[in-house]
Amino acid sequence: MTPFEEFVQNLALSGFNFWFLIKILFVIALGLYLFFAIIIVRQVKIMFETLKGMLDWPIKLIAWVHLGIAVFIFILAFIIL
Amino acid sequence: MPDLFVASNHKKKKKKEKGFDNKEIIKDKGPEKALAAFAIHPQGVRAEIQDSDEETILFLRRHVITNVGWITLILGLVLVPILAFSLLPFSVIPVNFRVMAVIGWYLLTFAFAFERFLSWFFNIYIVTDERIIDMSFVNILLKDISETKIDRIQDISSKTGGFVRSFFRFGDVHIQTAGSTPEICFEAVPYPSSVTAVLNDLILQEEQEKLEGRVK
Repeated sequence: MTPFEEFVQNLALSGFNFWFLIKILFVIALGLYLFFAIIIVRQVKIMFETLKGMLDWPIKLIAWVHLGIAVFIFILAFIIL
Repeated sequence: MPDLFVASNHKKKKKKEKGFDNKEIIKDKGPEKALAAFAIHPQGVRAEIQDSDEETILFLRRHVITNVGWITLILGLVLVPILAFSLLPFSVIPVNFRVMAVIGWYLLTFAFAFERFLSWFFNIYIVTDERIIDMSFVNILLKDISETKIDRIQDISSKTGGFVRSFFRFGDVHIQTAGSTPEICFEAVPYPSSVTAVLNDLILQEEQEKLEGRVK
């Protein structure tokens, strides 16, 4: 038995919940994604301040909808995992 | 008696090919088309650093065909979960985790696509009657704007090489300047020879303005 297999077996025997660890990792990853979505909204705003007169509202709308979806999925991860 | 030499018509034709009247090649790419890669005198499009009386003459970005690579990649990434779940044994993973994994995958795929689109959309080159502006959004966090006055341009060269670039008529325009940015490169822009011609016309106009003492 390799040291890693031994470690996993010990975790299982000690009642460690593997799926809880995965849930935590999912939530951290989605939290980072949420942060990224906020940055996109801000950057799109800055980009349109730098360059005016092109397709402003559809791209801003996509950025905001994307942020909304990121928030929804972050909350969904807490509920279903 | 028939004319042996008619110079005037030939001259006019040559001038039309080189100058600002070269609109027949972009008749379907007007300023109203926000996704256009080549527009002459776009209405309402302005960079933040432009002066109020500065006229936008050319608006350029990378040719649309340069997006084919990442769009193909996105199509591949969209198919990954479908293939993975049909080929690999994921039944050991609880359903809720599988659902979240698929949602996460598509979120990342969308983020990648949106970032690539924004990079293309906001990587633009503007030629005004006073200067050239190169706005590069390298990625979502890095913005780089370089500009140089028309009268600081020292040398212009255009390069079109390869099958795809020749077929779709796009290439690079290299502009050597005497400013703080030694070279500005318009990468993969449509009709590089027309861009070069327009820039040469602007340099001549600027020199003429200098001679007449009308420099801003």
